[in-house]
Amino acid sequence: MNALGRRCRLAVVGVWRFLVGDTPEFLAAVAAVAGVALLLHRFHPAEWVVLPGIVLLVLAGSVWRRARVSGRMARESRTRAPDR
Amino acid sequence: MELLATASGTSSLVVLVLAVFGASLVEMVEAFTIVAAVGVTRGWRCSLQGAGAAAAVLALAVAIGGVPLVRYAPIDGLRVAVGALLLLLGLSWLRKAVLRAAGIVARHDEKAIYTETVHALKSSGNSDDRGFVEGFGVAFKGVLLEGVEVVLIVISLGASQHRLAQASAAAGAAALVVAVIGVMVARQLSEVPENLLKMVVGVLLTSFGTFWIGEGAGAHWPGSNASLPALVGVFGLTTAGLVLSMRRVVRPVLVEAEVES
Repeated sequence: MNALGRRCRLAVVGVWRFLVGDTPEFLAAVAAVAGVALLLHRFHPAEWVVLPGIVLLVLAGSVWRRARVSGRMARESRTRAPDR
Repeated sequence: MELLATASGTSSLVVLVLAVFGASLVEMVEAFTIVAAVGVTRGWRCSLQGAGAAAAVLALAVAIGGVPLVRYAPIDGLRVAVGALLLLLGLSWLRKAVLRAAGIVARHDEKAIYTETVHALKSSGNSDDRGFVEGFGVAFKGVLLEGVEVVLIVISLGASQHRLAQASAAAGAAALVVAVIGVMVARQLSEVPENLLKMVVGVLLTSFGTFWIGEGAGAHWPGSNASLPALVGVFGLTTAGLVLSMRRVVRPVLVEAEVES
């Protein structure tokens, strides 16, 4: 890979990390909100309930996921403590 | 009817100004911490010149990126793209702020950043010329990196509502407020309730993002722009609920583990 290609790859990775980072579920949520908005506009008039609903579910799920990971890590470090 | 339209236009302008001002305030506090650390160790001249140069680059980015978007981009496509960007930024700010408020993730510590930067600059002691260049570079990089998110928010919100000037003015006002308070207290601004601000801005950006994606895709919001404050209320209440539930359910496990280890 030449120098320009490497720089482009680094730039893409940098933008991905800046915007998405460790929360790829947010990218999926944004795509879902846009897709559902388009679909609902054609077939159903309740976008104002469904769109915020998707966002809220994703936010709550993401926070819970991270909190559970932190809780599990804390428990694991507690069970490992006697070995130290 | 005309009165309703004026009221909804005013409410969306208020939310826009609050979102940009709050986001800029949060990022500028972080940038000021670095600028103050450079000023104390390497002198205020190089520190302020570095910060000024970065501010000029950021203003140029808004002019180059924002003005053509406002003038030439098709409004519906622009709103979906801008909404997606705002939703991404807003959700990640909100998630971080909720986790910090619930005590699951450590809070941003301006004092630690200040001490770290001062220590790094002092330990690399060198000649006046190199010291000036190094101080300039650190201040420039700090302001530029912290300002990138602000630029994205200014361009997104300004372009989608054709209010680039108001969005830029709100960001400028926040930078001015931080600079004036910073100079008056002459130290890092660790007393600013940064996490609370981040949470409020996260709620505003998420509301704008959801609103613009829907609007761009052709969704009908009841009362048009007047539904923005309602979205802010829904997201704000949910965020408060999330913080409370996280504190009750997860925090005891973490505290228990800390005590036993």
